[in-house]
Amino acid sequence: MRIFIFKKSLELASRWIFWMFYVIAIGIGAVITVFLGNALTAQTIYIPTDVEELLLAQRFYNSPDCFAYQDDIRDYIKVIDLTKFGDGFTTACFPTSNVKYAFSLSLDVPGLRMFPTTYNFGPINTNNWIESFSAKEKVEEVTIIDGFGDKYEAKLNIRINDVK
Amino acid sequence: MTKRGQLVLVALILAIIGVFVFLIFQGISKAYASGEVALKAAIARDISLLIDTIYAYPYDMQITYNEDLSNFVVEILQGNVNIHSASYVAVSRGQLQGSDLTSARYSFAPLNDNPGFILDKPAKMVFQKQSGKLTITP
Repeated sequence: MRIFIFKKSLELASRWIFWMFYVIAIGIGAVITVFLGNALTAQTIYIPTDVEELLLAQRFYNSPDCFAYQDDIRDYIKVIDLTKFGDGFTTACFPTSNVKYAFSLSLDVPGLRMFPTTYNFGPINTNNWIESFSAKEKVEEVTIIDGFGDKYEAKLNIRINDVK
Repeated sequence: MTKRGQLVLVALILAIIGVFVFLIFQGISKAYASGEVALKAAIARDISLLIDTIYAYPYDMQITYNEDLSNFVVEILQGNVNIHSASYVAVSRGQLQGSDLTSARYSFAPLNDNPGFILDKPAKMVFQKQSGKLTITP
């Protein structure tokens, strides 16, 4: 077998500088392949950001592990237990995770028995929250129940940051 | 001047590395071109969103995820859903063996639990939440 027809090339291959460029070329090739593949894949399976934000935000007012009101019989959707608001937010409700959204919550409550004027509770932030002017804001109309069992209509302000 | 014997060795090393690199690139390209990578990424996102939805739902529930995943290993751990090809990764005594260069990952936000499940080639998955506790079974 004539493997020496490129004798000079093979001689070059025995030098360290060849291997240096060889490794760099292979590395660049691999990075381009994976980058292009990932970009095309991400485009194919794109999830609208609003959908994921909504799914994550719903737990704040629907889940009893967050602030949803719960009595002996059932849990109440969109009813916030004011005595729970803020408690265990970053441990039980939204612990540190790798999701790409951060949340900051505040509650505007008009005319509580103990506070006759509009009172603002919060803000309470998830661990990954970074204050930003580009944060989006959603307002959810909710009912709150205070420590006396009184009900009020209130606004839950949910600020959302894309952190990745 | 390099000797003839040394050149044979260099040629052989080059050939072996060339074959190795070719096989890796061919494997990666095949995974992308066949849609397997996209499918894995889509499944990872799908399952993550499903778990986020379950956490946002206040009552007990059960959902059957009917996508046939018998070509994959599904790992749900530390707030991440990882999808590996069953060709490269096996499950032995509840632990993953091997690695998949094109595995897909997407994150979800757990509540106060920290679900950890490894499902080997599940033909379907059943997500169940009872008294706030999430279980996932094949």
